[in-house]
Amino acid sequence: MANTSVDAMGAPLTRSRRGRAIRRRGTSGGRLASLLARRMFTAVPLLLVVSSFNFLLLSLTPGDAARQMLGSSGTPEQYEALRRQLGLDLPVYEQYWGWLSSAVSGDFGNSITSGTPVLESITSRVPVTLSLIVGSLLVSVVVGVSLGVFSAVRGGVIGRAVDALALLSWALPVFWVGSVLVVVFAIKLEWFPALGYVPFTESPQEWARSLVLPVTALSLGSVAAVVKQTRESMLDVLGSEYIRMAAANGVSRTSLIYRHALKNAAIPVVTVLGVQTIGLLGGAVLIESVFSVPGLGSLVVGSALAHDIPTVQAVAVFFTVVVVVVNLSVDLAYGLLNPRVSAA
Amino acid sequence: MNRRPLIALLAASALALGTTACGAGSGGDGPARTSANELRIGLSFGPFTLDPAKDGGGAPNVMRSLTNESLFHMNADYTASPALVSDYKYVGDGNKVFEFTLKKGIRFTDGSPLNAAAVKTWLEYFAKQPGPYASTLSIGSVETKGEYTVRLNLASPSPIVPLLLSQYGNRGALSSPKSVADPGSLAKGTYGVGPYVLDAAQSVVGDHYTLVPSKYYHEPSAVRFKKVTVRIIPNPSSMLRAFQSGQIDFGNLDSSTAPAAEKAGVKVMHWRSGTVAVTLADRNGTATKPLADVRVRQALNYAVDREPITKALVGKYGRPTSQYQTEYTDPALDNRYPYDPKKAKALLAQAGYPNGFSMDVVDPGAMIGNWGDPTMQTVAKYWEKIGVHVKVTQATTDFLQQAVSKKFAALQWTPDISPTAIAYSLLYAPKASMNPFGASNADIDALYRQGQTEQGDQAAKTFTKLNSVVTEQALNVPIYEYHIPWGMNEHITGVEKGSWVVFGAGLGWKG
Repeated sequence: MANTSVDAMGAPLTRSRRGRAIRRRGTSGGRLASLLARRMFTAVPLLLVVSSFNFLLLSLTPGDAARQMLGSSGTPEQYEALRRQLGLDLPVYEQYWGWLSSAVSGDFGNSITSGTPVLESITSRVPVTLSLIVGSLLVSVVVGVSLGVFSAVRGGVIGRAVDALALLSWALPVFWVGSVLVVVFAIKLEWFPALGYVPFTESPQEWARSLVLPVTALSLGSVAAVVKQTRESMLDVLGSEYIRMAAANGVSRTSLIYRHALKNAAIPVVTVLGVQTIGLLGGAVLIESVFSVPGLGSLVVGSALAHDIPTVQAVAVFFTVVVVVVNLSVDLAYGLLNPRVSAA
Repeated sequence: MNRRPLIALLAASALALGTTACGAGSGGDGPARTSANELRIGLSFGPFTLDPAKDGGGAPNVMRSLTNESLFHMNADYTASPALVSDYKYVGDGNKVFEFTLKKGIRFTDGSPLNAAAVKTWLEYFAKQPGPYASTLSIGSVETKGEYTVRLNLASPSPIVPLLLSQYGNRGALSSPKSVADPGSLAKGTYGVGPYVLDAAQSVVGDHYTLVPSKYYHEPSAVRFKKVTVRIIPNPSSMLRAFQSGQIDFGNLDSSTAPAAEKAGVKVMHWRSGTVAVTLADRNGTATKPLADVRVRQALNYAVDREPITKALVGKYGRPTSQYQTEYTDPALDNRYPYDPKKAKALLAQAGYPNGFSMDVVDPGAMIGNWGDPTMQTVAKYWEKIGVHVKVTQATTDFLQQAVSKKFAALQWTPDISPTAIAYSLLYAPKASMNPFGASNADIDALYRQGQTEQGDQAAKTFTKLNSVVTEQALNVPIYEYHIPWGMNEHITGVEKGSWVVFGAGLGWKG
């Protein structure tokens, strides 16, 4: 059996069928390029919609940057002068057009409040947020899939216990989990720092230490979602006819679970992971605040409170790009996991 | 099922976690590490911008004092002593010309010399910036007399020029002429005459700032640390945990977290920092007629039982007071309006409002914790008891806009302790920034004009009188003076009790 290939449904591939499948995969390369092009094409209007909607929302938010900068001692004359200087007296569509014309050429302007270039602020914080997101995603995949498979395969009381634990971790608020982790592991046990972030380039070990608690807190909900989805999918697949046939043909249990069942069960899990990744972006905002981590989340919160439109706009654009990339990755992963999807 | 892959995976994860955890204390921000070489400060909010001319006051001045030494040093009693200045004087009478001479041999952190021309460049730059303190001193012209003497010709008199050239308001926090010529650089770095300079490569604006010693500082013995890190921690619980885990040596707490910090062994010091007050903006009765009557305003003061409010909302980190706190307040008036609802009702009746009246008030919402909306809601309940119905609007980041919008008869807020002259230009002058209805009081205006031309004890007496009139006229309903709890570990020295903020440059380390 080791030298016999089976298709996605478990049917053995004959020499001629294998050839057709390979040819199908070959033509799917062109379809892949087309998919990429389509995604890129739809990303442009998406970015426009998100940036304009975001700009509008920010403009409708009570208060403005001029008042924030002048504080209580600013006279009405100073306030009006500063509004003019910042262009806040212009109609919203003119302000947006001004921002958009610069942004398309890669100039996201300077922060209204700090005066520093927005791109510099973002690039210095991207590695932090990416470390959190990628770390949480890795934990979600490794722990979530392992526990999901374990729960599906073992079933019974252990399966239900894993299920219940997953539900519980899903229900726990991320900031509460973060606070508890800090109290236990940073204050009582002194294993990890309570807050802050150390760049990888400064010290890989300290970088890892600074990420353990925030990543654990951030990934808990995501792990739960992956466990649940993996367990359900695995139970579905393990109950299907081709698995029974493969077992009847003498395929080992390990191969059955990891080579055949898991691959097919992974498709809905990938969908969940895609959704979770986008959710992690939102979770990162909270976690960065709890752990005082200098990521994009804390940047956008501070900037929104200060009515720093250029910074908030740039972060919104960045998050949108991330969402587009995540969705594209999910599509690509479908293709890799199931050739029929890419063929379609 | 073959469990080996799963077990191997879990074992690898545990090993990685263990290895990482075992690294605790080996460097970086390790919880257990404290060192005389490094000072770690936590602040609840950081500078809006590193450019002192555009930034506000408060907590960021803890850091600014480390990078930008001021011409004068602000003392705990709100006077100012010369710092970068060797001598100074008012020229002639009337406080309209002020002259000072700089100490020699001092350099900015970029190496350029501190001289009269550099000061002139800075002061002229400062006045043109849209900063919150640009209007606190009206300078007509700046003259240089020789290399080290500067003369300020003021457009309007001021007896507190030394204070306005201190850390208060950032005007004294000079930056070098080179940086002024390139304002973009001022947003990214520090160019003052301070013991430390920002290490931009190790800093993330808005999150943490790393300061390293300036090689040009004129008093090397005052550089007590090889490195100072300032971390911005807006979340009070995170600040508390930073103290509990030993990750910061010094920082500002709030009244909700300070008790837990003290229990955890953190030393906490606190003192009068400002007033939580309701300012009766429409005191001329433009839209809310009853407020024009001093008896009504006094009734609102008598109606509030400040003691339980203070105890419940800020505990020991505050003190009930009947007067708006400035540098010259008469302690005898702190209890000018004891809780007396009967008297409050009687005063309302005498003023012709036996059944009370209604008014709109705006407060800063939950943004400033118990100092904001919780205080206002409690006060509103007391006023309800004497028949004054208050519609409270909670503002968010638009508080200042709402406060000056003329939609509200009163505003509840938390001004920090300021010089009387600044409080006047903020609240009581007919064109004051926080006087939306343009209300005025002839006695207060006259006392202000008089005090502005006087000096020393004479000015102090006049401004004390001005504050007494403000209290007697009940232009505000002060509730309590608030205290900022400053937390520190047992090694920290140099905290000047009573000062506007704790200046980081004064901090030392013992043990």
